Amino acid sequence: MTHQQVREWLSAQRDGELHGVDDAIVRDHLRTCAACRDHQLALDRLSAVLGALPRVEPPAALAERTLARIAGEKRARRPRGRVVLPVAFVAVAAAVMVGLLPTPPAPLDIVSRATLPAGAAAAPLTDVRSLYVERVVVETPDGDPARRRTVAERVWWAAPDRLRIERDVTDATGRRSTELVVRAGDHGLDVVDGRRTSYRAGAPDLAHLPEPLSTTIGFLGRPQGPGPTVAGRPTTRYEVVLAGVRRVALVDAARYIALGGDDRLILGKQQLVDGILVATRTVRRVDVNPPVDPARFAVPVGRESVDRGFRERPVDSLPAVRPVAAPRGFRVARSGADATGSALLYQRGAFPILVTSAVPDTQEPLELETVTVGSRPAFVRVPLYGYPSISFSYRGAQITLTAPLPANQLAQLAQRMYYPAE
Amino acid sequence: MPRSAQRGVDDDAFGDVVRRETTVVFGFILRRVGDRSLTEDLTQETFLRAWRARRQFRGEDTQGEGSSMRGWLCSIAANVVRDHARRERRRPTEVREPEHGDIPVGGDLGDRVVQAEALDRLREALTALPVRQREMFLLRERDGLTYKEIAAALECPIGTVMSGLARARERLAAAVLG
Repeated sequence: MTHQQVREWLSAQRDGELHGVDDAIVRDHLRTCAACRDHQLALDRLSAVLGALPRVEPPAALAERTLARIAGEKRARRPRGRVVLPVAFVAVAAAVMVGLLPTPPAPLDIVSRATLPAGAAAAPLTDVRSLYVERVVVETPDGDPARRRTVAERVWWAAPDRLRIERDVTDATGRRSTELVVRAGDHGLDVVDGRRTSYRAGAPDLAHLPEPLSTTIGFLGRPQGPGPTVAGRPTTRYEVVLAGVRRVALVDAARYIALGGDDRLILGKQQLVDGILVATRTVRRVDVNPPVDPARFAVPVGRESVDRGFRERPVDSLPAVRPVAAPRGFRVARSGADATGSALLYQRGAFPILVTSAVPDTQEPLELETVTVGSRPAFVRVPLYGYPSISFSYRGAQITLTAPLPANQLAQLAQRMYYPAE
Repeated sequence: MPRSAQRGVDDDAFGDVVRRETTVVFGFILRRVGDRSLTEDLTQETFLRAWRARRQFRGEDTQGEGSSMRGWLCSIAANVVRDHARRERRRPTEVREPEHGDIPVGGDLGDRVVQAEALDRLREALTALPVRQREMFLLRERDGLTYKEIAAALECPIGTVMSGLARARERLAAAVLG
């Protein structure tokens, strides 16, 4: 029996783990060995000091967040049909996501094939597009009650220097129509009577829209045949599902796209530069509505107004969140989060990838058939103005990845970043 | 007749497990990765894996076969940390205890200062311990794992736990006495 052996026994005895050794043997040794008695006293002192060692405490809500993730997985395992991204997702995901920016685990090389042309439209990616102001305006033109109308306006800040306004107008007879205005000076625009799904006066002159539309048309699926002639130009008819509603897309020979449906029609275009989808280039200004006075939207002019609270925010204006590991070859340019969501901007050279969560996309999305990322359903959304995005679930959080890539490459990118092993 | 080992954890009980064991799993992982944010993610990942494998959990029977929930979770957490390190292609950071320089509250000021000094020495000695011994010590003293659970979590024989703990205590006790 060595002193070291006895000290092992003393240690195990404290832990109630001394099995197969008679306590009497230990006691006898202590009686005759001053060094081991001192050691036992030292262990007593150690125990006393240990009580003062601070404990590591997890965040108070961690257990509940964990349970929420488990509940999410339970739901995900239930068989289900096609998933529809609910509007409420924004608020829920925002609450879940604050503080939950994931750590993308895998190296990337897919982007090496997609180098953004120097300076090409990289800047808008640093902005989170999130202004949404809703107001109801009761107007009485000329003081004539018979001409009184109520205008419900939704004002969206869509991209730098670009404002989008949707106006639901109800006149004195109760008739409703919808107008959509893309603020003057930024883009082509359109106005449509909500019920007739056709152009009203002032349709842009397509002959003055210079560049061809990108392969965005490819996102629309197969052509369904010839469409009507719009502004003197023949179109091809596509059908897509927008926010769960089946809509018609008319594409003209110059590759411009007009999306029509029950209540609105949007005209726009996107542009490919060396195979990469970049921001819409400014095209000729077409005024069909009176110019919009920005000041009118800055103050509620004595009318009912609801500000949803979102503001345009460059990513670096958001409260900083903890550093996040970047995929290999990337650096984290900026990251931030607030109550409405979070944003993380990676950069590799001039190539930016913006990962946002729960920040509302102010664009009308093209909701395509779901694709799969990491064996899970994912949504590809292709806005008319801006970059495509893909939304998918990652470790219980809803992630939206936005990058200047075609949707199929975006899906591959998401797969590589988040589910490399699958 | 020994009772047969408990098999599996039902969904309701699993919620209690998460609430009860989060602190232990969190501390276990934090000591390995050294980053609270990452630890939160990996803690959740640990419980998710445990939930997926809950039917395979084999509780301890009267013969001491099977394993305790805490030991089982720690062994899963160890795998989660390893997988993470593999993904990141780097070794887990060394075990760390939080910085904490406050003087303990209560009691005589002189005693408290002495206690604070002993605490500082303990921290230093903990840092100087071999990683494995430190982990054994903290799992035992801070998280209350049994030797068998520690052996399962660290994937080593119980005898190694016993001797490692004794050596750790020897060095720490010497440091505390100054």
